[in-house]
Amino acid sequence: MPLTIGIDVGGTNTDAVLVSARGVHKKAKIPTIKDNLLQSVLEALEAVYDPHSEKNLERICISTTLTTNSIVEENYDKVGLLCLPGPGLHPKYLPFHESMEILPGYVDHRGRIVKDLNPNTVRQAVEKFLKKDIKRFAVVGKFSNRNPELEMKIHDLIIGEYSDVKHISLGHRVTSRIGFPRRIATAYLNAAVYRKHKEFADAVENALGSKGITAPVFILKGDGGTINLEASRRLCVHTILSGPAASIMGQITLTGEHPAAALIDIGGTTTDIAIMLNGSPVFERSGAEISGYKTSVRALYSRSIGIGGDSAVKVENGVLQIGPHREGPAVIFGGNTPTPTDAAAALGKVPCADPKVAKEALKPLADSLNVTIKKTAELIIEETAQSIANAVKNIVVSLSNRPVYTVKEVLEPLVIELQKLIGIGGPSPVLTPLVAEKLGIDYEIAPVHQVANAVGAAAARPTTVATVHCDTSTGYYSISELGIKKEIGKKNWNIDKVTAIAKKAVEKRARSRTGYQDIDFSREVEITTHEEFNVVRGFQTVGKIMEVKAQIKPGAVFSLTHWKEGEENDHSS
Amino acid sequence: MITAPKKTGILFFPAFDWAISPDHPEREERLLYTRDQIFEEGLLDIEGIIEYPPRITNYANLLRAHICVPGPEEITTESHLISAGGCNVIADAVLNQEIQSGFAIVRPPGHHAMRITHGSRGFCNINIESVMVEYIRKKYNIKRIAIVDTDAHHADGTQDIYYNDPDVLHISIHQDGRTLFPGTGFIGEAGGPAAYGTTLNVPVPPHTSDEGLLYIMNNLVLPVLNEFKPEIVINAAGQDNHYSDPLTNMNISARGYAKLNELLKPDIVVLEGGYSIEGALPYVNTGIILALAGLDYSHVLEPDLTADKIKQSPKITEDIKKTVDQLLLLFSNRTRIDLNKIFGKGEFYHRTRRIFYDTDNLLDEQKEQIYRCDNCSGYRLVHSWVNSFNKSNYTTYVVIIPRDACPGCVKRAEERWQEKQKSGGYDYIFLQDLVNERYERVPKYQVSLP
Repeated sequence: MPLTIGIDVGGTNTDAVLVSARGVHKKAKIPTIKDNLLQSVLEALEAVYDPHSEKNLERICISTTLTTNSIVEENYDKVGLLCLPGPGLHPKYLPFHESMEILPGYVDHRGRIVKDLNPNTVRQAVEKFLKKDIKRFAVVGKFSNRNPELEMKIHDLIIGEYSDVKHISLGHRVTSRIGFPRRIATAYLNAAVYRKHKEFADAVENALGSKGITAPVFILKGDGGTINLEASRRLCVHTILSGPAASIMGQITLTGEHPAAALIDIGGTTTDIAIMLNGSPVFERSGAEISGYKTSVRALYSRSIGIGGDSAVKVENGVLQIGPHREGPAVIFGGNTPTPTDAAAALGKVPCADPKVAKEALKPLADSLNVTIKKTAELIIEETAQSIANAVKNIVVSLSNRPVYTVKEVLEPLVIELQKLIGIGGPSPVLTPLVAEKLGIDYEIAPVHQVANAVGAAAARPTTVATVHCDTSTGYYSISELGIKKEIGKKNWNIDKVTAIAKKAVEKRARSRTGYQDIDFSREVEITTHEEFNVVRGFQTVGKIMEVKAQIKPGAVFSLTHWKEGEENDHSS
Repeated sequence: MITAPKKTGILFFPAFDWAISPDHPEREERLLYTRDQIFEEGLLDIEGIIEYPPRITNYANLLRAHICVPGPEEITTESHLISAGGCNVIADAVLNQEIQSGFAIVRPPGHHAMRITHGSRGFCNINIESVMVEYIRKKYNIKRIAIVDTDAHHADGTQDIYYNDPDVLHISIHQDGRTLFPGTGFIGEAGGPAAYGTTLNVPVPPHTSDEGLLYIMNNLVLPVLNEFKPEIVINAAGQDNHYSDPLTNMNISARGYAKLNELLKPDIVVLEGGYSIEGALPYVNTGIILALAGLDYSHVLEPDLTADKIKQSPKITEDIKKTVDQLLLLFSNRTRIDLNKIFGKGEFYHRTRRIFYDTDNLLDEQKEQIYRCDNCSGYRLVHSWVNSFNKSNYTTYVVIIPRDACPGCVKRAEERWQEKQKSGGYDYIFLQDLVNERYERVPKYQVSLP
């Protein structure tokens, strides 16, 4: 029975599970050591690691907050940003413009080099940064996703002439997406957190090596997929926001793939809401946003609202006010301010809690509202569930009202009709049924919520993308993520050919990652962009512009929907 | 992260699956490079620039602006209804004060579509600005509106719809009609008997550049707007006045167009023509968005632009100055002028026109009568005879009751409408009653109108 270890480093706790398709065999929860995430990971690993089953340990997947924290706390390296913006938006509006050197040379929207590089300006800029002891670089050109040549030339020049330079992040490699400012932010942050992530990755590798653990290690990304430790070094920025992704993947592993579902993770202070359509979680449209930076990092769509089990409940001007702040734990767990959890306890819905204490805590609120304590408790639960239900509804509306660019999409708009609500988190058993009732849909509560994120990290399959942009009238195709730009000559390529190339590229990228040899690519590869335009000049069709993006969609490599908590399986086969 | 000083709405509807015909300038590819440029520049990510999804409009909204012959179903496609509906979305956002100004980057365009429209001319079937103007007037109780049309072609359709409407100021700045389709738009076309001076045509010589266009803005358009005091200003932003446009001979640059919008401060901008899809549209649209949002557009530059390329000759500058002076005089004298000298002394003002539909290959010969009423702009009667190359010929008679019609005109128009139904003799007889919102046809419409 192949085993996986999943580790989720959270803000407060680090969870670990030893898991297989048969169920969770071991689980552990240890406090996170803020300043030493490596130590947290190793301790959590130690807690579930079983030397007897080493030969069956197929992989280790880690979801860490390392890069996220580093960016949020601005605790990262200074980066020398070399930009090729060409004409357009004033560079003063670009992210990280204060660390930017603008170089001449640019590419236009067709991927044609309008103006070539001047190697001397590159040298001057690099030396300027090196003088300031900045040794990590990001190189980003406008439309470099259409033609990576200028970025690659700069890369080769720096590598060839400056041995002091420690790292270079290239825009077209970190993302193939259109959007120059986002590409800049993505490449900059990638270079900025590179050292920290690399040190972490090296240390994990060394620690495992010294223990004799040979199973390959994967890191969870914000898109709910995994990436192997080696590749994660170069693309470290993609590991941001893996926390919400771990939660979503956990819910999918534990409850299955649904045609149209809302996933709610009700915590102490906040509730995170995600949406699943056709069995896959919905993505952020243009990329993740972190610390005010809009990036091109693929991320699962997740919205947080300020309401949870520990939200402070008050009465203001005769009206119940729930959240958005937390003033401590529930009164039944030693806090001072009543919370929805206390309301649930007052109604006898929290096992192991004393309803009397809860009732006492709600009394002042009941007095202000001039109703019974029972009624107050019911109102609080009702109101909390209503707020969550409203947030879910708003999310569905905003996802349905997305801009569309074809007549067909206007006439056949995306209609999201939720069928199921998936709940996870401590307050979930009490609140999920009520939220579902308000939405008029079925619900399901994920078991083992305490370690669901670690389960999610363990089960997540590797994801990757490949974008093929082909312009037969200029005679080239490019695959930005792989740094490929090739001539196609006079060949008459069609969209099927381009699609085949994209599928092959994405499979090749994914297959290079040991630990997932058994994935069925024919099922997991999907085409997310499929565009074809005739290029007409002077009333003559002179070629085609085609773009196909293929991805391995996020999902679970095994499902635990039939597994019941408590069935601690014997895995020593 | 930057924030736009002015909240700006963008409705982008490139109709990536619609074309007049595969090789036609109005085809799927037209806004492809504009999308690439706008998205690559990250304009829609800027805080304060809001993208709105499109919405399809209904036939009822078309019939306030148009008499569609034989009916709206026959002469429109869904893309026309979405293009017009997209403008309405932006109008709603502006008038609900969600945004300070908005830009509908939509296709197909509309400014050659006449009040009585028989199909496609100059790539236009439905006048998207006019449909929007009528929507605004109906929904928001707004009366005075100014449309400044900067497409290189004369906005003959919009002019036709508002020719006798004193509450809509229509200014069209275009390449001289002696040198370009549709061949109209001369200074003398200055409005009907009830609206003289609220149609202003500014024909400019070929090779007019930013200098000339901005001169017209500063010396004619802005002073006239200042006096007219519209509640809403619309820029019909055709981009075929660009120096790289294949169909025209003007010399406007992206930065010039941005400057124009910075000066004009329109509430709503609507894309019209523009067929230099690679060399102009990506840059012009970027420039307009930045200008509307109050952001610096000084780095917007076409890759192949040099100052020499669009240098304007002194002769052109002189010609433009003369035109502007004439129009200023016309506008300032508009209430003092003896209208009988222009429109005759008769009970009706008569005019005869031949309107060619280049795309659909048909010719509409119109005889129009406008009743000269002291109390309102007067009802209108139009006889139209269509000679079609592709279909059989047909005749149409139209009775129009304008929105400001006095009870007397409503009554007189109603009598004509009844008479014509009895006497017959036409393939189609239409009533467009903007007072009581009656839009009827004999024989009765096959489509149900909401």
